[in-house]
Amino acid sequence: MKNFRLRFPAFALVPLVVGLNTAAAEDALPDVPDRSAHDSDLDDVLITGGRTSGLPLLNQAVIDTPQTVTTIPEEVIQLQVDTDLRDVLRNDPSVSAHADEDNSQGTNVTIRGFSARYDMYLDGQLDVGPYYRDPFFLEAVEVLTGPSSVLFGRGSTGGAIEQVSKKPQLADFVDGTASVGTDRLKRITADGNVVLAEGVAFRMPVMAQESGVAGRDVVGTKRGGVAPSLGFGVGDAAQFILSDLYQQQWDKPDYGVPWIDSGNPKTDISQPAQIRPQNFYGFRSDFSHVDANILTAALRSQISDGLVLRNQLRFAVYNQSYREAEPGVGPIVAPGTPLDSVTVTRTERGGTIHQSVLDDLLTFTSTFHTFGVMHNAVFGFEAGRQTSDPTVYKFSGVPGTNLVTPDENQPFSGTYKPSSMVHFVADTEAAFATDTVELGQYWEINAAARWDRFDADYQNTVPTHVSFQHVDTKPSWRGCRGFQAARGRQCLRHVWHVIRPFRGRTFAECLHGSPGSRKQPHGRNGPEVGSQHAPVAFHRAVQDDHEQSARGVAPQSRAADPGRHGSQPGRRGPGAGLSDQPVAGAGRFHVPGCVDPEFAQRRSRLAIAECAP
Amino acid sequence: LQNAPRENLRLFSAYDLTDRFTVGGSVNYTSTRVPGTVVDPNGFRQRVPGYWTASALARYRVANRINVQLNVNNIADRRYYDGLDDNHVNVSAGRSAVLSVIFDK
Repeated sequence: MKNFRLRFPAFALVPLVVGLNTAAAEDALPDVPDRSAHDSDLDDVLITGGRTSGLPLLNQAVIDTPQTVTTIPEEVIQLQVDTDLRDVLRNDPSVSAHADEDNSQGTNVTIRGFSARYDMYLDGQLDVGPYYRDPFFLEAVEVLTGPSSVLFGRGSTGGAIEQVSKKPQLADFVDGTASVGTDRLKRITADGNVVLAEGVAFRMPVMAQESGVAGRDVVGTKRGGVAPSLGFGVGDAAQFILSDLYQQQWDKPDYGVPWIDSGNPKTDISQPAQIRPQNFYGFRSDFSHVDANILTAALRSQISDGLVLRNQLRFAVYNQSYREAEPGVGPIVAPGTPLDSVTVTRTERGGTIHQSVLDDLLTFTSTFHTFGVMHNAVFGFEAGRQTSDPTVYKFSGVPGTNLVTPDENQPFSGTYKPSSMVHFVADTEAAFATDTVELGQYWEINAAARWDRFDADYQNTVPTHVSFQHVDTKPSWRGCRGFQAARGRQCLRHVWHVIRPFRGRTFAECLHGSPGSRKQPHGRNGPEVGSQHAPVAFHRAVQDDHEQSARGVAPQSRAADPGRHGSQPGRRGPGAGLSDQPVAGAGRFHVPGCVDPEFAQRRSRLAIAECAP
Repeated sequence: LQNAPRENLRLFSAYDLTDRFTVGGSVNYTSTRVPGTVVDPNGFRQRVPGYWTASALARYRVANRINVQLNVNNIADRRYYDGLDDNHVNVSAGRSAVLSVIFDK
């Protein structure tokens, strides 16, 4: 097994940190010493520089990317025993958990305060389903903060989440984890890879889990998933990978506790009900059942020395059915009222949703010289069709329950009828291009542009027929210049000046059948200044093999112009505007992003820390 | 700004104490958050308090390729408010422990 590490360093080198990697990966990798000399199996988590994102438009090393990108690698996911993508995302402080609401269960998070529900990507293509994503098949998770419409042609202001799946490798291996825990947790994951023939490999991560939630009555999950992938020409100039993700889950969804309005709205704040935190206000028969099936075919071909073609075709289907109770206390509760005299209203919600995504992404990546200047260019096209067919039920006659002693064993009663039955189809087409030019030793210029056409057709047949059609044709662009102040010891200091417009979410709401809530896309321009650097001073410490201390240092910072985004009042102060750049660092020696072959062999761990202002 | 704490801290790290023994943990702080930027139907502003949590892990390699790992999350059993919505609030998970047997590549 150790031989595998030697032979396939790119696999063994879990790409650690992000946002601050050095651009010198290509230089550094061959120099990485023989890691198999170490005994610990964990030793192969090394700091590697120059990791590139899997996204087609981000062909530069992450530190050269004029956007805040945080990567959470598989090693960290395993150390934390994260069973849900939401827990993985907690490693990035710009991400906050959002509760499930209405018919939107699943990985609901906000990035910088903006919902990222429709900004979820898997290997660069949309993954919109309403399911609780499990990281069992992921090699890394990337959080791209800031507007990303130039990358995806859509998206909210906050950012996007990219899931990088495990791909077939040219090595036979198997690994696995079996876990038991409090709250009925039983979880098993395994991952196997087999080389079938020269360049042909098959890999299959699997997962099964059953668990409750610590300190919460009733709620829990059962889920299972497989993610087989078959690769041809793995590592060759022409490579084809066919992969599937199938996940099925049966949940008792958690709708938490109600807000309580007590006193005077002028002077008092509404707070969550101060009751026993275990309280569950739904019915035992509440449920959410989702299956997700995502089939992807990815072709990469080196056409010539300076030209790579990639084509990725995806068909994804998501089915969900659910019924759950949202607790609420409507009227103002007079101060001093005993809580056990308060009745909680159960707003029962239910429905079925069928969604699909068909998408093809074609890109050409090219490097060439003109007039003595080096270009790194990417251009491509994307076309797809997205459908969503939600049927949402309205319930009546559902009994309430007591705030202090809710009765989850009460049998469900009530009547329901469809409140909306939507058929939504959106066709998308896009063309995009980006070029990065190196001007001498210090300067880089990057420009990116994207043109999108989004053609949406919405039909609702209940209670009365409503339909509308809307076509958006929008350009997005981004320009930046990078200044590289130092490249000492393969560390970089960059200052970016970025101007990029962004667009609000497009027809996301339509996908879930709220005809009244369609939002127009909008754009806004704004400059952003950021810097990325790695602390050269820590190199010394790294040399000490016996160094044990953790360094909760911020090896990277990125400040943004606070004047940007007038719509984000949450953060203030110079350099504070959007400076929630998470700091990711390798633990023990803690010089993330700086690759020094001498310490690349040291035992390392990852630390992720951040202090937003 | 809805659901965006003004301060958010996350530190996670792990160390090899010996070739076989690894320890680690995390510290998290999230400051006050609001679920929305508008008042609720009764005219109240909604807000949840901030919180600190910590977690710890230990991993021991019992044999070649076989590790045993113990994770304890939310060590202090702090009950904070996690997922926010303007109609309801999710109470965080309490303290939990997970024992894993990890079979390496």
